[in-house]
Amino acid sequence: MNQERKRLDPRRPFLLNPAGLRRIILGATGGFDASLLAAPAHKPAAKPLRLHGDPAGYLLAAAHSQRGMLDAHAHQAIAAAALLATPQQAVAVLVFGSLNEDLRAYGADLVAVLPGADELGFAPEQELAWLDEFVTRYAPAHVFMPDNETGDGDLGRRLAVQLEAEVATHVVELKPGAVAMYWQGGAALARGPMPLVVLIAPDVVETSLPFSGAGETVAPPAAQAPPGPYQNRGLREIAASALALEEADFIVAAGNGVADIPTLEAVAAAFGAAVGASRVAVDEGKFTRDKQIGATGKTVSASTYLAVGISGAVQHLQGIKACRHVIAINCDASAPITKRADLSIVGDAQEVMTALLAGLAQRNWPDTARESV
Amino acid sequence: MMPPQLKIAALVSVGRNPASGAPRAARNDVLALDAALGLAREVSVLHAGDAAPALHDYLAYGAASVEVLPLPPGADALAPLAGRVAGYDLILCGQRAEAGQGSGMLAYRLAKALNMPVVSAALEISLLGDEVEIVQFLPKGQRRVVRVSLPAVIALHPLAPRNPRYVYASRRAGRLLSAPAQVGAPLPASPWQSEPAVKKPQKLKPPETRQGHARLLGAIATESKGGALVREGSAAEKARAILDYLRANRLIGF
Amino acid sequence: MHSLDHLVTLLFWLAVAALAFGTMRRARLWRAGAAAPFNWAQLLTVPRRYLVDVHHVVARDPYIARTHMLVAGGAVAAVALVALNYGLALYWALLNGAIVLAAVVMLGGSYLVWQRRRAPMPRLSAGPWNRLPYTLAAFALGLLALGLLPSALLSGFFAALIMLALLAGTAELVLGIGTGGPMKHAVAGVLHLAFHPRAERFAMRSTALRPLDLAAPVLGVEKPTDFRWNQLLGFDACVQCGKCEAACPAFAAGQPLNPKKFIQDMVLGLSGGSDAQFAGSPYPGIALGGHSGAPEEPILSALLAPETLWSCTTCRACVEECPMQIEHVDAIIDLRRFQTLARGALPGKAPEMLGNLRETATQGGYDNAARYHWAVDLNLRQIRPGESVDVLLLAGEGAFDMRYQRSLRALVKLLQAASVDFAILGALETDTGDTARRLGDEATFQAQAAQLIATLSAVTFGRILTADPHVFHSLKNEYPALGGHYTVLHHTVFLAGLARSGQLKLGATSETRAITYHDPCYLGRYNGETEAPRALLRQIGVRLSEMERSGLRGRCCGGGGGAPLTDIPGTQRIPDIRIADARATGAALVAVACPGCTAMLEGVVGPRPEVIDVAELLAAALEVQP
Ligand SMILES: Cc1cc2nc3c(=O)[nH]c(=O)nc-3n(C[C@H](O)[C@H](O)[C@H](O)COP(=O)(O)OP(=O)(O)OC[C@H]3O[C@@H](n4cnc5c(N)ncnc54)[C@H](O)[C@@H]3O)c2cc1C
Ligand code: SF4
Ligand code: SF4
Repeated sequence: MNQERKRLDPRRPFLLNPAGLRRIILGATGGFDASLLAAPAHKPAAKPLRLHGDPAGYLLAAAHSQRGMLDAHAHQAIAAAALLATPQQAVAVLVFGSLNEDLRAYGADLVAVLPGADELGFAPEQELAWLDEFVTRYAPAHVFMPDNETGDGDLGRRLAVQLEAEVATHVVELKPGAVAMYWQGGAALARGPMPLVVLIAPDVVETSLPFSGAGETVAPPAAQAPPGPYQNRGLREIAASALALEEADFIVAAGNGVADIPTLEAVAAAFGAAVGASRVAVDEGKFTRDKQIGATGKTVSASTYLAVGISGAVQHLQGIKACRHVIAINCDASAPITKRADLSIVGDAQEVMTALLAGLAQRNWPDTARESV
Repeated sequence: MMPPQLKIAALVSVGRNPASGAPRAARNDVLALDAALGLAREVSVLHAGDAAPALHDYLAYGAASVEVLPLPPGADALAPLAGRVAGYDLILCGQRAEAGQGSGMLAYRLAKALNMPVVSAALEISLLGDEVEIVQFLPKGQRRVVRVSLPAVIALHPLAPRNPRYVYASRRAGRLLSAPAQVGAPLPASPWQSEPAVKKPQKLKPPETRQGHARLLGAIATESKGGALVREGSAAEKARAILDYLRANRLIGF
Repeated sequence: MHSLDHLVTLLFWLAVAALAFGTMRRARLWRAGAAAPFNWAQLLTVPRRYLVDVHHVVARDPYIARTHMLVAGGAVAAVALVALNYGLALYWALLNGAIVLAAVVMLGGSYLVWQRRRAPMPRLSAGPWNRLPYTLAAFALGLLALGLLPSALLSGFFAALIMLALLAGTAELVLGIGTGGPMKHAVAGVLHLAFHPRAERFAMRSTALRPLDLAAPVLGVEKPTDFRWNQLLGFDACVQCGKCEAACPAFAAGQPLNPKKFIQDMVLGLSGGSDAQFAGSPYPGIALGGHSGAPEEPILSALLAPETLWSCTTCRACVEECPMQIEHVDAIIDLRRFQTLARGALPGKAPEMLGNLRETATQGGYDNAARYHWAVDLNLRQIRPGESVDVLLLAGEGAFDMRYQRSLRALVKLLQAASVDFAILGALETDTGDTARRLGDEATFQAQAAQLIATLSAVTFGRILTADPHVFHSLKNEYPALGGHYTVLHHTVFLAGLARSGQLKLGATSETRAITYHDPCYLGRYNGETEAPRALLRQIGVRLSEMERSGLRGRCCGGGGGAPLTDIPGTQRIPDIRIADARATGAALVAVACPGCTAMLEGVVGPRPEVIDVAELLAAALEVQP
């Protein structure tokens, strides 16, 4: 195997898998294979049930839904419960908000839905009363929740305090009976026994499972909290384009290689992304200075950074150190940004942006991406 | 209408520079201090622990003094802090500490101990009589406006739009004050073992079921992660490569 | 005896009284400033300082040198003679003849002043300065008439006319100091030379900032009266010639700074008033009339916009050009010190950088242990406390810049080729704090300095070598005042020495493209070192095409003084201007000797000359490859 690896020439032809990853297949001749990208999804065969017979004990997962869906982070909390449950333990899930999706794929055996939570806004006492009741009902060994900023991180901490229970937050590693989390701002990793309340960091659990949950619907908790000290005064939304770059999770940034700003802004709008720029684009007056990203501009931490016509000078890259996924569109394959980018598209910015807009308008290409390898 | 003489406390900890590990004022706590100073001229700035030199940074950021509540090693900071801020109207702190565990539990535990409401992820805070209005951070540009009655505990979000200034002259003018030694309840022996974070944490996965060749391919793919270059193909195909990448990594929701 | 002569005597003594009164009035304003040493004997230094130091600067513009010699020389001679002949009521005809001669000289000078002011260059001020040729000529003509025409022959009308001319001229000469007119410069200029706040500069190139007492009640300068009195006096010496304006890179880039206006604003501060009357170029982008000051009022932002203060790159081009030896940069730093230390009011990324320095001892917030990662494969000796070495190499902040690491590697290659006994501090190296100091953060600077001095005192070395002119300047010129005394060499100087002694064997460069050399401000202007890099380049056979602004008068790349961090917008970027300078020579390659310059000039987009450190050019021309 070692020898085989040594022979691999990084420049040899490769296939690009749907994840945009370069995949060098031994013995294959490659290049960019668009057909692979377009490979139709095949329906997975029905998966076996994880739980057999009556449960002897429970693990719990709880999370807020949005517009009837749980996000990936919430799915991970459920999958964590399912992966850590013993064959006799059932996974009970409490969903705050309505639910229009099937949670069996993530291992949910019992599902209680609280559609009423959709209308509540910030109501920690009511939600805590429900969660408390649910916990009392199942007496779980552990409660898993996503440690997010959309309500679950807050509720999980309230639960721990209410129950005077041990809690682990920002958990980055889960093993049967043990968790690990970062201390010292990430410099130390602390391991310990798995406490009752486990608030997990994003992306620490694989959610494509070889088994399925029973998915049985159970009655939601019905506790009523008395009126408390909290009052909702409504939501405010900031348009993505007006969002401070530091906060944006998706940024489309323009450099000197972008001539047509309206198209770029349209691409950003289609992704719901904020717009950023290199210093040169700012200097040319195409953007205001608060859009500048880099050493002398903003430092951003978007998960996705789409750099269009940006060469990737060190001063620019300094601003995007924390970005997880960098995608570059540049006509020069040797521009420094391609070394930083996870995916580099060599081509004319205008053409690719226009094609992106067309692609985004269709939105009905086969869903190859959800199949993980 | 502002009630006269609201008693406001800011709780501050010793932070840690991520690159050097050097102790410093924790950024998030600086925001809390700055927010508190924006609400009242007089703020009690409190730290439970040692009179660490890094606390002088809070003086630079505008604290007239930092009151240190000494803690015996291994003692829980909760009891001394709760005892000290009992009777306060508003207690501000950072949402998550930079050093130590950084679990983001303090505000909740304190609120419980004091029987006060707690709101975290606060970006802006304004006083309205005996209530306080908080603009709360939610991801993706969402904001929630919440009011709570005083007294309350509020944890500041790290993105709170404040502009604290480091002023040497106020650092020079300020003082660390030591409160009498506290007898905190000793913490239960910690079950946690910490080690330098060198290895990447392992993702929780179902047991591996793929066979030899598939696993090999998977291994190769992870090793050559990143840096994929798409040169060939039409603009439409290139656009598709981007969209597929985004979906594969769940970066877009459609 | 004739009544006219007596009138002139009367006028003379009135003028002397007016001058004395005006000077005292003005001196009251200066004396409102903070204390500084004072010694009347300093006045004796004036002739030498004038004839050597002022003349050295003025002579760069032969026209104005000649003009000033004629006007000022004529006027001084004439006034001295009038003092003798009329002041002492001698009324000798012979002396009158001498007065005529002096007046003719002065008249010729006035003509030249008039010529220049017919089509003045934009850097000159208009307003009251435009009347100078006339009032000076009137004075000269009055004296001429007085000396030529026996007063007995004069009709009453003519006598009145002569008196009027003399009156006008005398008023210009003696009232200036009291009223702030153009001729204020004569008195203030002389006193400024005598009591100069940076007297060392008359003995040697003196560019180090003076340490600030961090326990002082006022940190830096908030209001005009926080300046030392001799700084205030110095502002008053300004002749509004605009040489500084023409040299200022920030002004050229359309950033809101003009050193000449800055000095005039400080004059407004000490005397009170609005800038509406300022007759020169405003700060780019800031209209006149919006600012005013008073001695006890804060300078920012009523008198000076923060953007003006933070545009300066501390390149000292203004100081280098100023015929009146005014110290713009010292004043700017004094103001910055207050803004930074007492207000924490720094723009852009400056506060972040200062926080990084305090927490990581690096400007970029890097892990200090990574400072020498570029050298892992070079087998450098890392010195440990207690050990000794001949040459200690300090890489500076450039060590974290992937681009500059190439230059550093080239330098190491040269040192190894020359078998130099050298070592690095490795992870023990910390920042000098130089940039903090330029941003006015004296507290952080002194803390950084103390840390580095402690590290350096634990090892023994002969010399410190660095490729960073800012490190060089800081250690060589500014650390001594804090107790760090070292022999410090910039790499170009050190390599030039090795090449001269034959220890470093250099062949001819294979580079055939046209090359120009950009002088880093902190090497050239700050340290006078313009020759070593050129000698090295000559030695490997490079024929330099010099830029118009080079050597001591080189133009800044825009990277100094923390300016890239404060990043005040202009209409252009300074490095773009500098690259245009380079292009104008036809060069395809700009040789540099500073990590800052490298980064700034390489930040210019589009086709441009390549930017290469001298060390890289030399390493490629090494005769014996190690
Ligand atoms: C002290 C200092 C601080 C700086 N701070 C910052 C900062 O904070 N932020 C910052 O961004 N920069 C900063 N810079 C400037 C930086 O060095 C670069 O000059 C700048 O980032 C380059 O911007 P760019 O990539 O847009 O332009 P260019 O370097 O001109 O790159 C344009 C890119 O677009 C590509 N391109 C051109 N046409 C097309 C097309 N039709 N389709 C696709 N691609 C195309 C080109 O191949 C090229 O790679 C700083 C510089 C200095 C010296
Ligand atoms: S030091 Fe340089 S940038 Fe600053 S005012 Fe003088 S010439 Fe201008
Ligand atoms: S400061 Fe000096 S160079 Fe500038 S205008 Fe005044 S005298 Fe001339």
